[in-house]
Amino acid sequence: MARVEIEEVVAVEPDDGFLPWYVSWSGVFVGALSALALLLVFGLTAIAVGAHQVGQHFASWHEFRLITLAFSVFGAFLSFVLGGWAAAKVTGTRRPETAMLHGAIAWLVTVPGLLFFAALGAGGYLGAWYGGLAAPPAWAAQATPMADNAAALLAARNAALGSLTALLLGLAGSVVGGWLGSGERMTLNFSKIPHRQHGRAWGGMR
Amino acid sequence: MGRNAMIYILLWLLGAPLTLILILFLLGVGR
Repeated sequence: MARVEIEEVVAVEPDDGFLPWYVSWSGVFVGALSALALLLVFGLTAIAVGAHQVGQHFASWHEFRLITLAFSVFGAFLSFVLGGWAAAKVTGTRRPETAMLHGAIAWLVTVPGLLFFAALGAGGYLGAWYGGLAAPPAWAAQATPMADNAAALLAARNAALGSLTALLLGLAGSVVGGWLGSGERMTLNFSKIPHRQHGRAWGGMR
Repeated sequence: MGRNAMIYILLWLLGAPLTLILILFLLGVGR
């Protein structure tokens, strides 16, 4: 019996066609979950030591105490540093660019999660700033209309600014964490191996 | 991702968010 074996190898130049960039969703989800977990640890610690009170609205930034600020900033940043680091480690890449983008994707995954938990009312447990991600539920009638007094409007603006700050600090933290997790030197001036050569999407050995 | 991807990642994912925070607070948006 004759047996014919045909082996065909097609080489694709990166510029000629599609060359997908492989995202390690395992790494991304581990990173996102660890960021949320550490955020919860920071938030609950802040509540336990009295740095933050659940459901507190800030009509002025002068009411925002230093320890609250410290917990908010470090909680938002360091949680996502861990998230980005975990994402990069589980992804297993040593290329800083890939690691940082995985960290950023882990941050992206947490954003809908944060919105969801804030909408459920758990935003206050994550830190002083994440409560601002929740709008008053549409199905719950408000006893006192919020828009009537200027202080409530100002509190809403401050809450939005706080949430924005926390989210952006998280993005920066996840990128730094991914960079840390890549294990490469954190300098800009080292020579990089040209990316995506020899068909390797993950970087490969050095 | 090209050779200069690092610069763009650092610029847009690290520099831009921090700059936006800084600008918002320097402008005195929060009161």
